[in-house]
Amino acid sequence: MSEGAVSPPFSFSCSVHKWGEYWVRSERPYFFVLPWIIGFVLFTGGPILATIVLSFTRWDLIGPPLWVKAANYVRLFRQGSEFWTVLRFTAFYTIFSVICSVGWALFEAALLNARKARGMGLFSFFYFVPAVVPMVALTFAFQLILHKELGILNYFLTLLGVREGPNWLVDPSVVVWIVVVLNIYTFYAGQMVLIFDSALKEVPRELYEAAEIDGASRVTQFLRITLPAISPIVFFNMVTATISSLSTSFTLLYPLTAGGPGKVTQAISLDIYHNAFKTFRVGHACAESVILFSIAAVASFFMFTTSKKWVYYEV
Amino acid sequence: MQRIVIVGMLLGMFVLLGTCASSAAVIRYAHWNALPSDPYNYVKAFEEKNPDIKVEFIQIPEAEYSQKLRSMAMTGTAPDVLCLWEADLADFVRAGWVTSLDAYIKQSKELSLDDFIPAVTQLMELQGSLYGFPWCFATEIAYYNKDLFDKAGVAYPEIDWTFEDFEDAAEKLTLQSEGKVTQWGCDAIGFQGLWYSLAGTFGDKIVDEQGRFSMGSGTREFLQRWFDLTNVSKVVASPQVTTSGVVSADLFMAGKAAMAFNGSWMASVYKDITDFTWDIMLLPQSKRSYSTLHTGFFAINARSEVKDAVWKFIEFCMSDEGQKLINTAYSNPSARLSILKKGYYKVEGPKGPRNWDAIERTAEFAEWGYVLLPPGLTFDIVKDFNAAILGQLSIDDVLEGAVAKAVDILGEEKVAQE
Repeated sequence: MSEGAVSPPFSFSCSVHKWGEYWVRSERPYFFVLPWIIGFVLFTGGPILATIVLSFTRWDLIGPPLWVKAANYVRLFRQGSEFWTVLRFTAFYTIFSVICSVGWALFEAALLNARKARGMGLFSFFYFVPAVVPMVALTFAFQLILHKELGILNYFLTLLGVREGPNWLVDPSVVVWIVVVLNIYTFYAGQMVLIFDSALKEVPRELYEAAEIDGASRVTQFLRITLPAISPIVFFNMVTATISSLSTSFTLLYPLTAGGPGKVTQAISLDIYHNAFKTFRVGHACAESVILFSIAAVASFFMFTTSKKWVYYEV
Repeated sequence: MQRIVIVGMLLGMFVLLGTCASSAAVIRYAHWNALPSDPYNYVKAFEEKNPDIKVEFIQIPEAEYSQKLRSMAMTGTAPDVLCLWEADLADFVRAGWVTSLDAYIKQSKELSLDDFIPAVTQLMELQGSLYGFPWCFATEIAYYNKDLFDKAGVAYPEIDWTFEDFEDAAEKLTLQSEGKVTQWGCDAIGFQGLWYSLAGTFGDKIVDEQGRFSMGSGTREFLQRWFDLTNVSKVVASPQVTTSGVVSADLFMAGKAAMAFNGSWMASVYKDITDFTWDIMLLPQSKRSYSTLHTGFFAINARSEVKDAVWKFIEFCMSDEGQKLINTAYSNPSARLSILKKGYYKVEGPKGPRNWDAIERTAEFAEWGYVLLPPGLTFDIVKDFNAAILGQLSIDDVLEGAVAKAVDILGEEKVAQE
């Protein structure tokens, strides 16, 4: 038995003192974590369970929920349902926004760690500032920048000789890429820059010195030394970016496009809000939430499984 | 002993004062707008007039207003006075969460149903009883740039102008330079309600007498005409992204569009224009005159224990004194005809508007229409309307989709089939 472990009071001969000691060592700690457990049950576990149960009901926030078995799921996955469009865009948005935001954050962090460069503090500030601008203000600014008639982007295009600039936010083939690229301005993208920045500072300098002596180019050094060394951080950022893209895409998409034109940029998080609070189909929205939860779980599981092949925890 | 007696007397006095203070009835009142500052604070004016009633004001942000009130009503914590949006009023009536006001209005010396705009009694007929009073109202109208009309030598829109007049004016007012439009005849539809109002002018009921969703041939014809104006004759600007039913950039305000259709509330925004003179007019009619009304309804929570005090508050808000404060503070007209005529809502800018008759005339025929439907449904359909004008969806597909969505959300019995 390891030191400090306490055997349970199985004998009648145990003294009151031993009982007290047992309680102090084995049960009292649970009282310290009890507030968190209560919070989890009330504010996380409970709502998750309630969401699952409500996904099998029809409820308009007026009368009591009506049990409809799996009707909400059947309706979502029936042929011709708009939910397929929502799922397709969600997959597209998640994959490309993760690539875009993680790639951009890594690129910025790499620039900040460039050797023999001056004024890095100033650059750090400018790189991080967009991440702390409220998303609503940012999207409003982009609505104006990208406006077909009054936008500054099309104005610059006319100076370059383009007579009719694109209608950026309502052209389906363009707007999907715009919302992906704008991810670099989100808070979690800014956060990733900071995380990558500190990770890059931890990579042993002697590895680069040795590589330089061997004649390795900067690109080779980045691919063979930097990336493997920070692979756990890349992995961590990819997982968080994936979950953020799935669940918090709402904050970017709702004020920027509101899911339009049609349902072209309607991500699942936006559809959940729309169904729950704009059409008051709470059961339907809960079914979508359960599907979103499942997608996030499967995506995370997939990433954790494949990470064994490319994440190195020891350099 | 003497000290004990004094302390006892003091305690007794405090208890008595406390009892007196708590004898004032307290009513809870929720609204999405903050209360206006003095001298337009109608809640303060009511309290001054009724010292025996205190109003506890709750501001609920507009974005979560509807769902918050529903949650409060479900859990029995809803405010005593509810200011309900049109679509919510129907649901609250269905759930039995609001009290009928029939008995109250019968005995009221201040209010009479004959004194309200026609849409109020129409809604009463639809719901079988009177459940709410519009706290003020807004509608949808046309805006035009008088300077651009003058420059092009085009006559100003008149009270009975038609959609053909509008098309003709838009064509004459559009200017091009090197193949690029530099001045639009009309801005794209900026507020979602206009899609329904203009479709209504083409004959669709939008919401029929039985409260059913009703869109069909009128909408088809309007969409086709609007598509041609946007893409064939190119006199109407291309649709822009619409979030929450409102666009961020306004070509009319920028002086780059000669006409625009929007809510009457935009008059209080455009009043700051100093670059050009402008005015307002009714929406052009096609098969009929039509526009949509917007409001919030003062209603009494059925579970309220201070219903009489609540009625006093509503009666004050709907009185001449209360309406004057509300109309002036929010620049919205009164739904009471006698007060509407007094024009408390008129806030003119240096360059416009002047033709307030447009709002008063609109109130005579305007209907609740699409606002009686869940906002999620109507907003979703508008996104498809935009897609149709952009050529991304066919008009027939959009209409089929609109009916399918309505059936999905409202149920088959709530959708009129053409």
